[in-house]
Parts: sequence; structure tokens; C-alpha cells
Amino acid sequence: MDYNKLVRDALKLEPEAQRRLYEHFAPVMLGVCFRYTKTTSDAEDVLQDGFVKVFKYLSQYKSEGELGGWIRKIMVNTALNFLKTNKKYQNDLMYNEMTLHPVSTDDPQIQLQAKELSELIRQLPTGYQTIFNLHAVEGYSHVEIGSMLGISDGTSRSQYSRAKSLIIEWIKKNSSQEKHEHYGRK
Amino acid sequence: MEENKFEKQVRQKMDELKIHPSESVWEHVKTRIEKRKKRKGVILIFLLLFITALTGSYWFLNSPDHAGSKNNEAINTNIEKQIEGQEVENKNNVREGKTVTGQLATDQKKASNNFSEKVKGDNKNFTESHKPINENVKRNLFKKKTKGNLVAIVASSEVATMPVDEENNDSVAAWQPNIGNDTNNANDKVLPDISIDSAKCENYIAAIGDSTIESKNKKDTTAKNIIAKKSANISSKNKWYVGVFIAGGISHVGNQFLWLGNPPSADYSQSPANNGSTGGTVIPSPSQIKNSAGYVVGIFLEKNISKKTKASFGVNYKEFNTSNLVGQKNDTTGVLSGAFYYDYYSRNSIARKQYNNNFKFIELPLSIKVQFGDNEGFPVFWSGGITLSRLVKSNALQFDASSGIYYKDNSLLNKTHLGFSTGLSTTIFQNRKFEMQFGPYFQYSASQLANQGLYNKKHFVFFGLHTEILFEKK
Repeated sequence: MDYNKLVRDALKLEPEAQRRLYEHFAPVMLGVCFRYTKTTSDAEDVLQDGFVKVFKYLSQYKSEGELGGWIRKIMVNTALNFLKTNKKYQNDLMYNEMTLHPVSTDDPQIQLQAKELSELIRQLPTGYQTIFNLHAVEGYSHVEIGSMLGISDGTSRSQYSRAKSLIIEWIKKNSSQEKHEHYGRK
Repeated sequence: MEENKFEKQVRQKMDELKIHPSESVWEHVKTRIEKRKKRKGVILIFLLLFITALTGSYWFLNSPDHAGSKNNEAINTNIEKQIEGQEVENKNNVREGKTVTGQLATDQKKASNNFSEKVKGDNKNFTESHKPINENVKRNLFKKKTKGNLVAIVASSEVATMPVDEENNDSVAAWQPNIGNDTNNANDKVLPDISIDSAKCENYIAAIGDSTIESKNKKDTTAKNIIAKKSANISSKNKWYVGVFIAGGISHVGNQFLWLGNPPSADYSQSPANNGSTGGTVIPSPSQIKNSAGYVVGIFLEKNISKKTKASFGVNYKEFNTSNLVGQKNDTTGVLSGAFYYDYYSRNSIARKQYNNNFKFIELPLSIKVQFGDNEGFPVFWSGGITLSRLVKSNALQFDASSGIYYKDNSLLNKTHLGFSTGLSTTIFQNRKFEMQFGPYFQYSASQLANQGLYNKKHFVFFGLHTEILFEKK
């Protein structure tokens, strides 16, 4: 797909181009929004706000960058704003510094499907969930996360550590359950 | 590295995640995009209409027809005064022939009044006396007669003197159709009296004629001057002048009128961070908002509403600015080179830099200007007025106390503002084509800039210097 042409046409406010751009990126972006929220409805709200901003600021997109990455970044930031402004998430969005938990080096092989893994991430408390997404999936450093969320990089590190150990624990539990079910069936 | 291996796996899995949104999401996005498009269109149409109306009204008010109709009132007033003056003059000059001159004066007055009534607008009689002439020509003729001051005055003088000479009866008759039936009746009354003693009358008439013509010439010149002066006054009073307004200065926000101390708003001062009960959560306060440069430019129409008072209205574009200190901008990943819409900033105290918040408005000012004293060489004006402005664009940062970041959210700002302006000015330059005034200027926005966020309950204040350039000043 020629993204540059698509962007040019969308900037001319051609409805067909706008629709094509949306349809091309919406499924991936809803996946992003899904990881940051607790319900599909909230994820769709974030997606909607995000795409409105994408079309509003499309003229600021410079074609040398990757369009998907640019849209993804907007979605992530829209999701963060949504969490901060939505009362449902505000109470749960605490970034308390805690003692670092020793993380097991025995990282499991993730056998889960993408949807299953994302469901596990969504089960984390909102603060952990946000930091886990930003570091493990988006690839931000703890310094960057600290700067984005207004917390120290130490807080980000410790919260990530806790989130990671919880996810590993759940993955392992999930795998053993699957094995058990598998052998049970045998 | 094991840690990287885990994250890599998670990233790969998450990249595979695709969820198809419901159809309603696109419908909502589409509606919101179209709404924005429409809003832009409405603002553009409103601006175009306003500029068209402004240009149209300026053109209309300065068109010759409009100016002419205003001048007619002045002309008619002067004609009446001229006639009255002439009547008194005649009475004084002709003391010996009381019967004849008295009659003459009366008839002169009648005839003159008839003509002056014609000039004032007895279009009906005038039209009847010019039946062969087509409608357009008649209208033009009437316009010419009523517009030219001198033509009207000379004609009225002729009306007054014509009937006294028997030999001129023919010319009176020939002249009658131009005046109308009423004048004809007036002349009929004169003729029987004159016929009693034509020789005496001729002598009297000669005397009257000489003095009347002499005084008439004198009066005509005086009348010309008076009319010219009055017409000029009336014309300048009714004329709209177009002008350009430029102001530059310091803009600032404050919580109260003229109080520019600017601590963080109540929203932030009440935050747990300031109460010392953070419980480990970092909830910082925003940096102080400082003043910055601002400017106003626009065009206006001005009209004299009395000798020393002027009224004006127009359209301005203004940009007010403030500044605050913010931390690092969050586009450090370097994955993309595109600019991000919210460009949020941390509050990080290391390497803080100044951020300029701008607020761009379209403004409709309405004001009056009063001249102090009678010094025509160095006139000083006080101006005061109201302004209705609309925020059209802003890059202002808001502050999120829970995360300590600065971000953009214009939905928190009030878009429509009512304000007051005042200033002093003096004419620093004037020639036939334009006049330039200069002086201090102050503006205060009575409306709150926002009802929440960093600019909650704050008002804009602007101090500066302004200049006004008025065109076609003669």
C-alpha cells in the first residue's frame, strides 16, 4: 500500500482515503488500545479519540517516518490520557515505589496466543499494566517512562519488575493447566 | 539476555494482536471529522461575510449618492436662511416704495418659498412640469438641481427679482414652467399692483434692482462660504473613515483584575503533593506562568458622532502569549520523525526550558473616542470600548498533577471572550491623505480563560502601545 498517496488523499479530505486509512490500521490499533484498558468498549473509545487526532494532525506527519508507528504513538498517548482522565482508572493508577522483587531468570516460553497474553496483561492493576505495556511492548526505557508518567525511573523499574513476575507466574500456571488438561485428555 | 528474550516474545505476540472494531467506531470518527470540517467552514464563511459587510458598508456610506442626499439637507437649510436674509435686505433698501416693495417682498418670499419647497423635494410638481422628459432624465435633473448649492441659490434669487419688471413678463412666463404652477400664481398677484403706476415702479425697481443685485452678490458669496463650511461639517460628520489598528505590548494572565501575581491555580495548590501526604506518589505543582509579548492588528471604520466624539467598530486579529518552564519533550524514542499532536513535556527539574503558550483570537471591537480640550494642533483622545473575541488557535500547555506532565488540551479553554479596552492617543502625523495617532493601550478580558486546568479562572491582561492610521483624512 502506498501510504504517502493515502496520506495525501486523506489530507485532501477525501472520505474514501480516510476510510481506507482507518480500515487498514484500525485492527492493529485496537489491539494496542485493548492492552491499555480493561474493557473492549473503553478500547474502542480510545481508538475513536485516537483516530480523530490522527486525522486532525495528519498534516504534521512527515513521510520519512513509518505511518503505522506514528499512529501507534498517538494511540498510546491517547490511551494514557484516557487512563488519567477516566475516574474508573484514576483510583487504580498509583505508581508507588516498592522493594524490587527478584525476577526469576527462568523465563517461560510463551505458548499463549496473542489474545490470551493480552488478556493476562489486562488482569494486572492499571499502574502495572501501563508500565508493562510501555516497557515490554512499546520498548520505552524506564527513564522515558518516568518522564512520561511523572514518576522516577526507579518506580517504573520496580513496578515493571512486579508486573513481569506476575505475568510469568500466570503464564506458567496457564501452561501447567494446559499440560494437565492435555495429559488428562490422554 | 533472558530479560530481552521475554520482552521480545511479548512484543512479537502483541504485534500479532489484531481486533476488528465495531462499525460504530468509524461512524463516530467520521461524524467528528465532518463536524470539524463544518466548523472550519462556518468560521471561514463568517469571516468572509463580515469582511464583505464591512467593505460594502464603507463603499455605500462613501458613495456620491449617499453623500449627496446628506448634503441636500444642508443646502435646503441654507437656501431658507438666504431667502430670509434677502427679504430683510429688500425691506431695508426699499423704504420709499412701501406698497410696491411690500407686495414685492411678499411675492418674492412666496415665489422663493415655492422654489425652496420644490428643491426640498416637491418632486411631484417638478415631474408634472417636465412631462415630456422621460423618468430617468427627470431623476437626474432633479438630482443635479438639488445637489448643486450654487445653482439652487442663484435660481432662488432670480425667482425673487424677476416679476418686478413689466418687460420681463415674457421671461417670467418663459421661466414659469421650470418652477411650477405655484410660482405662476404668485406672479399673477404681483402684476395688478405694478400696473397701477408703471413709471414710478420702474424707478423704484431700478433702485431695488441695483441694491438687490449688489446685496445678492455679497450674500451669495457669504452663503457660498457658509454652505461650503456647513456641508463640509455635515459631510465629515456623516463620513466613515477606514483605519488600521496596530498594538504591541505585554500580555499576561491573572486571577483578579490588574493583579498579576500568578501562583498555581487552586486545583494544584490543594494537591496531596503540597500537603506532604504523597504516600510515595509524585504529584508535583506546575511552574509559574509568566508574561510574554502580545500584539493586536486590525482594521476599523470610524465616524464622527459629534465635534469631539467618534465611534468605531472593526475586526482584529490578536495574539497573546504567556510562558512557563517545562521539562524534556517526550519524543525521545527517535522511532518517528513526525511531530506529535500533544507534544507533552515532563516537569523534570533538570534542563528545564521556557515554553511559549500562544493564544490566537479573532476579535470584534466596538469603541468610542473622546477628544480632550480644544487643542487642534495636539489633540489628545481617550478611547474606551468592548471587545468580543473568539479563540481560534492555541498551543497552550495544561498540567496534569497526577502524572506531572504538561500536555495540550484546548478543550479546557473557553473559546468566546468579552473584554474591555481603553487607551490614550494623540495625533503625531496628519496630512490630506491620512492621520496617525499613537499612545498607550490596555485591554482586559472579563471572561475567564478557562473553567478548569492550568488557566482556571484566569483573565487576560494586555498593556502596550498602539497606533491608529486613518485614511482619507482631508
